[in-house]
Formats: sequence, structure tokens, C-alpha cells
Amino acid sequence: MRFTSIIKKNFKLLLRSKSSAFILLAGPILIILIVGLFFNGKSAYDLSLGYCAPVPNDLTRSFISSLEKNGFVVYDFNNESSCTDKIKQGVIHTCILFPQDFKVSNDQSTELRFIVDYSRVNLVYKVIDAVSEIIEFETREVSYSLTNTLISRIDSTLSGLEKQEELEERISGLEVDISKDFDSLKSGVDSIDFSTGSVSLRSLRSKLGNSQDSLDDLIVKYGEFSEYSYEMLDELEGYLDSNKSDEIRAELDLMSQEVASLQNASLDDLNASLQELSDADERLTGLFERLQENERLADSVKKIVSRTEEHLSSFRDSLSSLSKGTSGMRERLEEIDITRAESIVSPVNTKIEPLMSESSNFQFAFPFLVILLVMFASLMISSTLIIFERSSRAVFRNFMTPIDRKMFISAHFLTVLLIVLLQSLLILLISYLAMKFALFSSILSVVAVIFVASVFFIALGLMIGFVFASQEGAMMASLVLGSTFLFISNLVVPLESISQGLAGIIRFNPFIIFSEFLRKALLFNLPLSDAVLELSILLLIALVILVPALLGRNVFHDAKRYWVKRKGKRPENKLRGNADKDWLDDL
Amino acid sequence: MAGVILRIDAVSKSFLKRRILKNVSLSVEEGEILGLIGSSGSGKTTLLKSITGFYRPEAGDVRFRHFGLLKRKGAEKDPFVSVFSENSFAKTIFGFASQTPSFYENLTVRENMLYFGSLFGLKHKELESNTDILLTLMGLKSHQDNLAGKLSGGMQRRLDIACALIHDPAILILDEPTSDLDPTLRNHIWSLVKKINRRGTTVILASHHLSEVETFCSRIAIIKDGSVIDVDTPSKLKAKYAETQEISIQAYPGNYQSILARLKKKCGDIDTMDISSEGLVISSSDTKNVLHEVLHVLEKLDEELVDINVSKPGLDELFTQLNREDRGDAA
Ligand SMILES: Nc1ncnc2c1ncn2[C@@H]1O[C@H](COP(=O)(O)OP(=O)(O)OP(=O)(O)O)[C@@H](O)[C@H]1O
Ligand SMILES: [Mg+2]
Repeated sequence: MRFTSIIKKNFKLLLRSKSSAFILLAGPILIILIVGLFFNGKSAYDLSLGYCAPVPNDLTRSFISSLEKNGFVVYDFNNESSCTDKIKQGVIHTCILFPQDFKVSNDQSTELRFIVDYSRVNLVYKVIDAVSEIIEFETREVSYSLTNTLISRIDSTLSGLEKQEELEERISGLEVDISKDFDSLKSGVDSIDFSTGSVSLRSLRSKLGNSQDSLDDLIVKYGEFSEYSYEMLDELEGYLDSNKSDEIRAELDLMSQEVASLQNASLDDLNASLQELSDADERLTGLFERLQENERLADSVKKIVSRTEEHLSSFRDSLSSLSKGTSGMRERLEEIDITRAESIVSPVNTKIEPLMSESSNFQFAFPFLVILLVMFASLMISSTLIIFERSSRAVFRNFMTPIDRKMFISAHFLTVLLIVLLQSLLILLISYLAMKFALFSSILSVVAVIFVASVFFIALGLMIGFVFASQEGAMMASLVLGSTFLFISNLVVPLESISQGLAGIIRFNPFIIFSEFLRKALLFNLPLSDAVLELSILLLIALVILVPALLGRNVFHDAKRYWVKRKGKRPENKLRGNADKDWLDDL
Repeated sequence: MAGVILRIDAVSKSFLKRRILKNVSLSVEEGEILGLIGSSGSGKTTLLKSITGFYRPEAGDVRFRHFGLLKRKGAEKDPFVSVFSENSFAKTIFGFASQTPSFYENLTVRENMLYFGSLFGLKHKELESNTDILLTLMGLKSHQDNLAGKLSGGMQRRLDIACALIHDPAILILDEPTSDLDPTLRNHIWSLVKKINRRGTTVILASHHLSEVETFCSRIAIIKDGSVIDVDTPSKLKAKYAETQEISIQAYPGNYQSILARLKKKCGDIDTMDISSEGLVISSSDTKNVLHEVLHVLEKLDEELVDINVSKPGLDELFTQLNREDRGDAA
């Protein structure tokens, strides 16, 4: 009852005072307006750039056209100085200087020069980012084509090697055939048993006279012999003179005929035949002699064959070492897995996609804007409320009620917390409805961050309210404090352009910490557990700030009292104008 | 009178080594209207604020009767408790309307009363009825929805008193309730104070307007330089301090110098004689004899008596007498 009536009263007071009502109502509206502008102003600002190409060629033209395609407004300049002049005038944001001979070659690296105006820090990074991305893409195109040629060369070499291997295979197959031929030839020559020629025809002839049987025998034997002779002749074909073999063959044929006729001849004829046989024997002996001649011939053939064989095997050895070499080469070439030029030029292909469909600018700025609202609203409303109370005529009557200071401060605190949370809720709701933020997936983290941020800044605001005596002073202090937090943040000045020492401090800028948390919560669904530690620490700091206010004493007043005691002056009335308001001190 | 309700025991208070209250002791009877008179800067406001615990004196104590309302162990043994040790309970005993009205200017008359009432923990019904009664009593009913800051001075004063009374305190403290108000409003406020007092509220008030204090207060405490020099009923105070009477004479042609010289020679028991713009002012305890002598001297000197006036001095005169050194400041 008491508590709620203090809060109710605070709301009435805040709403009825013009200045505070302005902060209360205009704050969120202003933020929404800014957000709206961010949201609409996606393409409001074009980046324009100039270039200077002394000798334009296909390569420069392709660069320029791709810059144009990417939404840059591109101007052509004849010389460097006219281009830089335009930068100074602010007409263009950067100047790209192509070298005299802009081409890709082995002996020189081609260099593109950028001229930027570093005084426009924010823009420069944006421009460099955007332009270099495109240039990089173009460069990649160039190196892509270069690599492509390289790879096609390798490809053709590989297919050449493959063809060579095929050839080798065929040669080695041929070689195997040849050596097989040799082997059979050798065994053929070896197996010719010239000793069969020593069949004793004379004993045969004597036996012949004994019986028909032995004649038959003879005939069979002869058949065997003639068969053998034919075989041998066949085998020797190619090594013998064709005339000679034909001659032998003809004699053999003749003999066979004679033997065949022998079969049917009578024993009477046998003698004649024997006579003839002995003729034949003579002839055969002659033949045999000639055959022995042939054996010598065969030996020399064998010798030649084995020599040839030796040559062949050494040929085989060198052939196999050759094929080993080519196959190793091929294997090594084949070990190169990546053979696509794109994948060599840009092994990792990065495609930057927006997280959501909206403008990334807005995504980036929204959490900062929410915390900005929380910060300024907390600081200003809480300090204003304290000043209201302190400078109000009602101070004395409030003191005369049995409510202690702790309850007043708590009620003030809760009042501001309610207002700030309501404002944040309003903004989040609008953003949710208008921009389809994925608000509810991380609502716990979002609420936690906003809550802790509010508590933190309200504590600071209350402190300001106690330290400063007038509403103007408190307002100024809140604004200065808030602006300091804002200015030493990434939102206004890029961290890259800040000195190291300062950048270290910035990391502890509560505004940044809260904004980062909110950003992560809103955009990346940061789970609450990840932020618990940091948020608890900040909450603790806020409570530490609140303690002196809650305990009814604060260090500043104690310090002032000490100062007063030493100097013996009475600044109270001078500062406040009304001694009644000293109850803050006199508790 | 139903006994003492508040006891002030040897209270001393300094601001920055300057002693404002010097050993002040005072008892307040239940149901009385106690007036504090004293020149500006004599420490009236300081005393009133020390009584309520707003200031914490460095010496002495202020104890009030708790009527068994204080629920605390041992409270029933001693009917009096210290304002300073039972601070928040003491605040429910007192209603304080300070020299400058204290309320929220951006709240309406009614909102102010409801707000302060709720801080005293009044239940909704009681709060509403108290508010209505006080609004009617103070004649603010028709203005209840106006912003307090937009009220006239008199209305603001009445609202302030209404706020002080919202929790129906046992003791109402009024610090110069009628300063900078016109005579009709002053009378209105005084009749209100009487009404409130008749309902059983003890009233302690500080004022410069001695004639009013004289008529409305049951007792008066005279404060000089932070000390109470006397406390008594107005009539007794007057009898104590006003033994002399004042005779003012106007004569024609009005040669007051020679009249003065003759009178000085003739009678011995004249306290003071002054020549003012209106004529001759003589104060004396033996009025009869002095009047006789005056008439005699006038006849001798051929002066024609134009006007003669004999008066007993009021508290105003007494007050100026007491604070002769502060004559310029006195109202
Ligand atoms: N808070 C304070 N701090 C320092 N000095 C104070 C304070 N309040 C009062 N005084 C001093 O104490 C003295 C007594 O002041 P006080 O207000 O009690 O006088 P008063 O009798 O009420 O006068 P008035 O009739 O003008 O209201 C004054 O000299 C004043 O300067
Ligand atoms: Mg005063």
C-alpha cells in the first residue's frame, strides 16, 4: 500500500512535469524513429569512387564493370591529382589507381593503389571493405584463368604418359611372344635326334631277306622314319634352303612311293628291291651326311638364338625400368587430388550471406539502440526523480511520515525500473511486429540483459541524483555520462582507430557489454547460461552503487560534511537554499 | 487538562558550533494550545523540529506519552518514550505544518492528502473519510481536484495543515501558521485551530503575531536566544511583565520640551518619558499622581490639552521590550 502509493505518486509526478514527461514519452518514440530511419535507409547512401587508368585494357574494364555492377558509382579520371581532388571535395570516397601496364605476367606483380580519406574514418573502412571484396573477386578471376591453363597442361601430359604406357605394354607383350617363340624353337632344335640316322640299314637289309614280315616291319619302320623325316623337315623349314628341303622332301616322297610299291611286290622282286634298297641306302647315307651338315647348321642357329635371347632379356630389363619410371611419374601426378582451377585459386569458397533477410545495418544497430534507450532513460529518469524529490517542497512532509529512506529509494528505483522495462518492452514489441525479430526464442536472455542494464544504469542515475543539487546539474551529468559511454563505443568511432590503451578500457564500457549481450541474444539466440557470470558481476556492481543510497548515507555527503567541518563554512543553504532539505544529511 | 503529553528535557542543538537551543525544558499539557513566541532567529523552528525528531539535538531528550499504543516490551512500564529512540512511532503522534507549506505541487489537493495518508498506513476507507472530513473542515472541497501548486497562499496553508492532520495526530505542530496571510484568512486559520483543538488535538504553535497568540493560546512560552525565559498563561504573563502604564498626551501649541522639564522637576516616580511624533509618552507605575501633575503643568504653561490616553501595554509591547535589541526585526 505505502510502497505502491509512492510509485503511483512518482508516475504522476514524472508525467506531470514537462521535462520528464518528454524523456518518458519522447525517448522511445525517438528511438523508434531512428530505428525506422535505419530500416528504410538501406540504399539511401551510395558509395562513389573514381579511378584512373592510363592505358585501359580488358582487365581494367572488367574491374570497373564489376565495381559498377556492385552498386558503386564509378567516375573516370585522367590523372591522379584530379581524382584526389575530388576526394578532398567529398564527391567521391576513394580513388583506385591502375598501373601503367595493368596485366598479369610472370616477371612483375601488378599493384592496384587506393587513395582514401582517413579523416572520414567510418566511411573508409566501409569503402575499403566493399571495394577490396570486388577487387579480390576480380583478381581471383585472373588467377583462375592462369591456373586453369596450368592445369590443362598437366592434364595433357598425363594423358600422353598414359598413351606411352599402353605402348610399353604392347611392346612387352610382343617381347613375351618372341621369347616364347625362341623357347619352342630352341627345344625343337634340341629335340632333333640326329642319331636316329644311325639305324643300321645293313642289318635291316639282311633281315629283310628273311621274311615278308620283316619286310612289313621294314615298311612300317620306314613309314615311321619318313614321318619323322617330314616332321624334321617341317621343323627345319625356315632354316634350310627351301630348295634343299624341297629336294629332300621329293626324295622322301619318292622313297615312300617305292616302299609302298615294295609292299605289293613279291619276294622275287624283293631282291631287286633290296638292290634298290641298297641304292636307297647309299642315297640315304648321302642324305644323312647332308643331314649332319644340317646339324652343325642348327648348332649355329642355336647359338644365334641364344645370343638374340640375351639381347632380348636386356631389352626387357630396360623396358621394365622405363615403365617403372613412367608409372611412378603418373602416380605422382595422379596424387594431386585437386585438379579444378576454382578450388586451387580459392580453396575455401566464402559466400557471405546475411543472417536474416533484413538490412545488416539495422541488425547491427538495433541492440545498441535498445541499450541506448535503456541507458539514457535509466540515467535521466532516475536522476530526475531524485532531484524532484530533493527539490520538492514535500521533502519535509515525506520525512515526517513513518516511511524510512530505504523504502523511498526502493520505490524510486522500482518506478524507474518499471518505466524503463515498459519502454524496452514497447520497442521490442514494435520491432517484433514490424521486423519479425525472432524475439521469443531468446526472450529469457533478452529480458535478463535489459533488466541488468536497467538496474545498472538506474543505480548510476540515482547516484547522480544524490550528488547533484539541481535538476539542470543532474541532467547534464546524466547526459555527459551517457554520451561518454556512447562515444567510447564501437557505434560511433571504430575500435580500430582508437589507441590501444583506450581500446582496453572500452572493453569494460557497460554500454558495450550490454549491447553485445543483447545483440548475441537477439541475433544468435545466446543462451542465458552463457551470460550469467558477466551479468551477475554487473548486477553486483549496480548493487554496490545502490548500497550507500539505500543505507541513507552516501560517501559524497559524508565528504561534504567533513569539508564543511574543516572549513567551518555552511554550504548547505547556499547549495540548496532551504535548510529543510537537510534531512538527507541529518539522518 | 489531562496531564502532560510531551516533555522536553534540557534540549540543546547547535548548527556548526553555533548554539541555537540552550538547555530548553518544557512540558506540554494534553489538549492545550501552546504558543511559542520569540523574535526571528530565536530558535522557534529549531525547537519545533527538534521536538519531532527532524533535528537530533546533541543533548537532552524529548519524550512523549504513548497512551499504550506503542506495542513493545517494557513500553507499559514507562508511559513516556523518547522521540529519538521511537522515531517512526513518534511520527504518527505528530502532525507538522512547517513555516513553508510542504506537499507536491504537481499533485492535486486530494492526491496529496491521499498520498501522505497512505504513507501513514491508513486503510482505504479511513483514508477516504479522513480526507473528506479535512477537506470540508479546511474549506478545500471545491478545490480538491486542483493542482496544489496552483492554489492561493491561504489555500496552500490550509492544505498543508490538512496534510498534517490526515493521520489524526495527537499533537499538531504549526510553525507560523498565519504568516503572510490577510487578516480574514488569519482569523479563519485561528478558528480552524480552535476547532481542531476542541476535537482533542494538542496544538503547539510558533508565531510572531502576539496579539493572536494572546487570544488563542492557553499557554505561552517566551523564547529568547534559544532559551525559554518564561512559560505561563497570557494573563499571568501580562500581569507579570506589564506593571507600568502608558500615558500619551497631545497638547496645543505643543511645547513638549518645557512640559517635560517641568514634569521631571515635580514628580519622582516616572519611569520613562519620550517625545514622539504624536506627542508625549510617559510610562509610570503611579498613574494617578502622574496624571494630576500633568494636568497641573499644562495649565501653568498655557497649553491646551488636545488628547490624552492611558493604556496597559499588551504582549506586543512586552515582546518589544524583551527584544529591544532586535527591535528592527520584530514584526
Ligand atoms: N539547518 C540549519 N543549519 C544551520 N543553521 C540553522 C539551520 N536552521 C536554523 N539555523 C539557524 O538557527 C537559528 C534559529 O533559526 P530558527 O529557524 O529556529 O529561528 P525562528 O525562531 O524560527 O525564526 P523565524 O521566526 O524567522 O522563523 C538561525 O540563526 C538560523 O540561521
Ligand atoms: Mg521559524
